[in-house]
This record gives sequence, structure tokens and C-alpha cells, in this order.
Amino acid sequence: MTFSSLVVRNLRRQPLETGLTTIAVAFGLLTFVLLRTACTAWTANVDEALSDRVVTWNKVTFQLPLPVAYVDRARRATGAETTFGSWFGGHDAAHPRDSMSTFAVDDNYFRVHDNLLVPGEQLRAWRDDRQGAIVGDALAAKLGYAIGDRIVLESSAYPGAREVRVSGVFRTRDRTVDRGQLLFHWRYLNDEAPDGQRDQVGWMMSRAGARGSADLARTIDREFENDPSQTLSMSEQSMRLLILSNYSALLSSMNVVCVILLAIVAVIVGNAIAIRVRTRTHEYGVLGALGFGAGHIVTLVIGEAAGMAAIGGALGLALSHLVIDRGIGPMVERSVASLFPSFRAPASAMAVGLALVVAAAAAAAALPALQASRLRSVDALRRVD
Amino acid sequence: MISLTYLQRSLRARPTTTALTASAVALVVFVFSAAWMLQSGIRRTLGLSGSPRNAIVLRKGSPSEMASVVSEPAAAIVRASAAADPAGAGATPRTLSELVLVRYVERAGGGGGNVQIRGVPDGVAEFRPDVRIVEGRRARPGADEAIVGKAIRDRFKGLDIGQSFALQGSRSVQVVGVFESNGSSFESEVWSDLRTVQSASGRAGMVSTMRVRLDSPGELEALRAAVTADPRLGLDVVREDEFFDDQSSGTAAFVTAMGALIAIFASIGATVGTASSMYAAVSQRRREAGVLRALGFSRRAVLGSYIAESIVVSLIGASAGAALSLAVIPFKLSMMNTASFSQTVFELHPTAFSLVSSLGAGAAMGIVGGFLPALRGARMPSLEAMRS
Repeated sequence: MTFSSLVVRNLRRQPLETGLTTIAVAFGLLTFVLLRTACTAWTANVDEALSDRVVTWNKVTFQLPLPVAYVDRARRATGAETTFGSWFGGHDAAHPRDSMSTFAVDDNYFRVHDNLLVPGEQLRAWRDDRQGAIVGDALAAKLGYAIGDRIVLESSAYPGAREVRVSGVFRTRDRTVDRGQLLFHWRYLNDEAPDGQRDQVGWMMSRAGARGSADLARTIDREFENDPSQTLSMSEQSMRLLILSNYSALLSSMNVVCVILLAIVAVIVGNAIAIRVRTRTHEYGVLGALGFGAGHIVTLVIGEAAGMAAIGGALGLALSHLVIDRGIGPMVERSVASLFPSFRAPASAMAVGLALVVAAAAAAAALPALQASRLRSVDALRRVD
Repeated sequence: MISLTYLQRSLRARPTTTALTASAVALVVFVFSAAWMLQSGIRRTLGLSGSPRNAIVLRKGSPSEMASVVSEPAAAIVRASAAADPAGAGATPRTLSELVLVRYVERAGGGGGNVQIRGVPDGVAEFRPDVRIVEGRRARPGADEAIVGKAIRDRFKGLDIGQSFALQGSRSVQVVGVFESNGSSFESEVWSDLRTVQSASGRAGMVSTMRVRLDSPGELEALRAAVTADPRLGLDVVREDEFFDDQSSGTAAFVTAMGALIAIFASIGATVGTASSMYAAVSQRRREAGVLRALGFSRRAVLGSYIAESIVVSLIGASAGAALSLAVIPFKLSMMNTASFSQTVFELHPTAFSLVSSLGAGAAMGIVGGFLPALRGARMPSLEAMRS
């Protein structure tokens, strides 16, 4: 009989208690992975953002528009490919309760945003149709849009209703792109916009190419330095980091909860192991009398804790996959797509979570292990429960 | 019934197990209670910003004050629909037109966040009597001065008394005072003169929203009828407290949903953990249970004593967890309010309900986790148990 099989046998001796402890560990890990998934989903769009794209806003605040004349000036000053858009804040009048992200965009929007994939003939049809719209595949599936469908849009930002026609559907390989978007022509919006909102764009987006985004951003901002509306340009990645920093307190509190969850796992496994060690005092005495050293007994106890956590952890990973990837994830992606376009348990979080629960359990077993190893065989064998 | 002394002694006989089982419950209850307090803190902070005595006029469908635009002609129509302003200086005006901006400001400790800037007209002090200056003075009308809410004063660069921040280009605004407002979300805002904010943002003659004082609840309907009668205005009238209630729903919903999921999963873990240690306790005490049964205690009494023990352990843990969560109240959370897209400082707000439900959750973990082990312990035939 090898030493590791002794650990396995010990685990199997009290199947009920072992089973319950592993289930507790599994739920601890599930909660941990769920939190990490939320954090990752929140920060993922920073990792996927193209540092090659530069976004330009009104310097006072992103909510104020820029004159449309800035677009051509930026193009002339930089020679870069520049597109623009305006937030429309719209919804389908026939589905007022379903959220979608609606933007009015320039004709070359999909050239700059080449991560949105639209078939060539659909893109041509969109350009030729003043009222054309391109929708994300997730939105098309959710509300049953097909090419040629007419949609009446109402907006919280612009008065009146507008009719658009679906010209095409975009797909994307990026996991963090909101596939619940509807994009239609800025020209069409502008033609019917009220006086105060005409000839204005929400933001500009330019491709930096080889020159680098920092240089491009500087060039754009310098161009408008002496105008009444100044601009603030930065790479798409910096912009997303900036938005993210608004949530830093929430993200760090979620990290604190992650640590607490590991503590809970450690306490539960530590408790189970402490109970076992106490009932096995006699055995350790026997092992000691047979010549096993303190190191052996420590390994035996910690190995049992780690084994218990590993089994529970494996169970927890299966549970995480089931609960998050099959249950909560798709639900979140459907209902708050603009915030969490992708809500799946990341493999890295699962691996780290498993390693951490095993480590936490092993650490929690250290004290009982030490106590067991310190017993003198003579005392242990004499002791009567 | 088995005496409580027995219960107490048996818990003391196994101090480590008792402490560890209680700690697991304590940690779960701590997270549960803290999430609950944060959720009610969000509702409270935004709830205090709205009064049922005010109506807010904003563009139809605008999810936030910032997204709304009311042009001067439209504002004039609203003013005409409301009862006339009383005459004389210092009188409370009946309407209040404000321009709300959101600006990114760097944080004192690195990073940054969006801060809501409110351009307020002259009568704001009378219209919002809850707003009190706690340091410095009020901003002079028409001057490039501002006052900051006390919740954000030391959280952002340039937003403390004597400092200044750039509103647009080289135009900077000096902070001359700090105000408080009963803990409402106004305390996370910067207030400057309406004209200053209008001209700095190139929005002369435009406001975001209007407040209208309601003398009786019936006036809301009359105002709504008057304002929505002209569909070209595209305006909507909402009671102020209902508006801010809606504002809190996004952020509060995230915290509630996340908190609830964590609480449920972690409680299952802790409950199962409790069950595991109770099974161990029960099997260790086979002989004891046998003696109790032989002495004439009924199965039900043994069962009750085991369950009571489990509940007591969980309640000890739950109380410790709830007490620990009260200790973190001084930590305030500056967080994005997803509806207004700006940073709002939220406090953890304990309520009687949150404390009672935290203890209740702890007791529930004890009952559920202790029941099956207790059943096993009570079912054991006494003779066999004593022989083992």
C-alpha cells in the first residue's frame, strides 16, 4: 500500500462527511467563479479594444456634441480614415420594453469598425438606402428582424418617430462587441433633426495605422485647440479604461468578496479536517509507533484536505459550467447585452479558482496537521475517547 | 426537553468545531448583510434626492437629467403653466431650471470618474432648503465659482475648497464652499451658477430639467396635462421622488442580483458545511445520545436538542457576521450610477429588515444543515448506541 492510497482510503472512510464537505467546496468555488466572471465581463472589453482606433469627444463632456464640420477638418489635418456617430437612444416602437443600442453613423462606419462583419451586398444595399439600417445578429434573432423589415424607432434623445429598413445583419468574432446594436444613417437622422440638434455628431473615430494612436490623438486635439468646442482624443483602449475606472470601487469590493469566499472554503475544509484528526488520534499513535515520522503525518493530513478540495473543486467547475455558461450567462447576455455582451466563465478564472481552493484547504489543514504530528505515540495510544 | 445546560456544555466541549462552524456562517452572513446594506444605501441616497412635493419636467423618455434638454421657449411654457412665482427677494420660487453636465475628473488616489455638474439658478437656496453650507460660502451668482457636495470633496482632484477645476478650456471655476444635503445624491455633485455652466458648455439658453413645486398632489396632473397638451414640446412630467426611484433601479438591481446570487450559493456551501460538521458531532456522540435515550428522553427531545445546537451555532455566527458588517459602514463606496452615468458616493445603510433577515438566514442555515444529522442521531436505537 502506497502513501497516497492511504490518503484516498482516509477520504473514503467517512463518505457522507467527505461528500458534504466537497459539495460545500463546490458551491464556494461556484460563487468565486461567478464573481470572477462578472469582473472579467466588465473588464474584457478593455482587452479586446483596438489600440489602433482613436476616439474623439467634446472636451467638456462626452455628452456634448461636436459640429459635423470637425469631421472633414480632422480628415484633412490627419489624413486618417475618420468616421463618426451619434447616440440615438432609440427603441423599436413595437417592442418598447426590449433594450437595444441605437446609433446614427456615417457611411464609412464599417470600414473603420472592420470588426463588424457585414456581407458586401448588404453593405451596398445599406449605403444606397437612405433609411437603411444594419442590425447585430443577436438583436435580429431576439426581435425576429429579417432583411427588408421596416422598424419604427422612437428615441429618448430626438423628438418624433423614424422608420428604418433592415438592409443587413452584422456578425463579429469579438466576444465583447454588443450584438444588440442597430446602426442607421446619420444623414437620415440629421435631415429631420430639430434645429438645436442639427449638424452635430456625438463622437469621431479614426484609424491610427502606422503613426500610432498617441500621435494621432495629439494631432486631432491640436487642430481644434482654438475653437469654441475643444476636443479630447484618446485610443479606444484608454477610453474604455476611463469608463471602467468609474466602477473601480465595485470591482475592488467584488475582489474582497472573492477573498472572503476562499476564507469560507478554508474554514469549512479546516473544520472537517480538524474533526477527523481528533477522532484519529489513536491511528496517528499507531503510525508513529510503526516508524512514520512527523513529516509523514503532516503530509497525510494536508493531502487529505487538498484531496477533498480538489474533488470539491472539480465538482465546482462542472457546476460553474452548468450554472454560468448554460444558465445565468445566456440570460445576462440577453437582458443586459450592452453592459455584458459576453458573460461566460473564463477558463483562467476556473483554473485559478481551483488552484486557490486547493491551496486554501491545504493551508487550513496546516494547524490540525501540525497538532497530529506533535502527538507522542505513547500519549496518543493511551488516550481514550 | 433536554436542558439548555447540556446544549451549552456540548458546544463548549468542542470549541474549535463550534468556532469554525460559526465562522463559516459568519462570513456568509457578512457578505449577505453588506450587499443588502449597499443596496438599501443606493436606494436611500437617490431616494432622498427626490421629494413628492416636487415635479420634474424633462424631455420625454430621457433616462437621466443629463440626457434631457429643455429649450427656453419650452421652459417659458412650463413656467406659465405653473402657478406664478411669488414676488419679493428671498421668496421661494415655484420653478427651478437647471443644466446638468457630466465631466470626467481625475481621482485624488489615481484613476478617475464622471462627476455630475449642476448649473443652478439664483433661487436654488430657497427651493432646496435642505442644502446647507458646511464650510466656506455659497457661490456668487454669475461668478465663476462653485460649491461641492461633501461626499466628493476629497475624492477628486481640484474639487476641494480653495481649489479650482477647468470647466471648458482655460475657463476654470473656483470652489468656494462645501455643502451637505441630508445624505442625498446631491452631495456627490458640483454646483455652479446656471449662466456660468451654460456659457462654458456653449449651451446658452438651454436647460436640462425644470423642477416645479407642487402645493397639492392634484397639481401634478394639472401640470402634466398642460405640458403634454402640446406634443411638439416633447416634454414629460414626473414626480421627483418617482424619478429618482427609477434612477436607483439600475445600479441597485446589479448589486441586488449579484448579492442575491452570491448569498444563495455561499449559503448552500455554508449549510452543507454545517451539516458535515453536525454529522461528525452526532456520530461522535452516539454513546451520549444512547444514554439520554436510556434515561427516558424521547427521540423528539434528542432531535430537538441537536437541532437547537445547530441553530445556536449558526446564530452565533450570524450575529458575528452581522456585527462585522456594521463595522464596515464607515467605508463609503464611490460608484457609477448607471442611470445618470456619474459617480455617486453611496453609504452602507443598515435597516432593521437587513439585520433581522441576516440573522434569519443564519438560523435557516442552522435548521437546514442540522436537520438530517439530528434525525440520524435521534433515530439510533439506544442500546446499540451505548454498546458502540
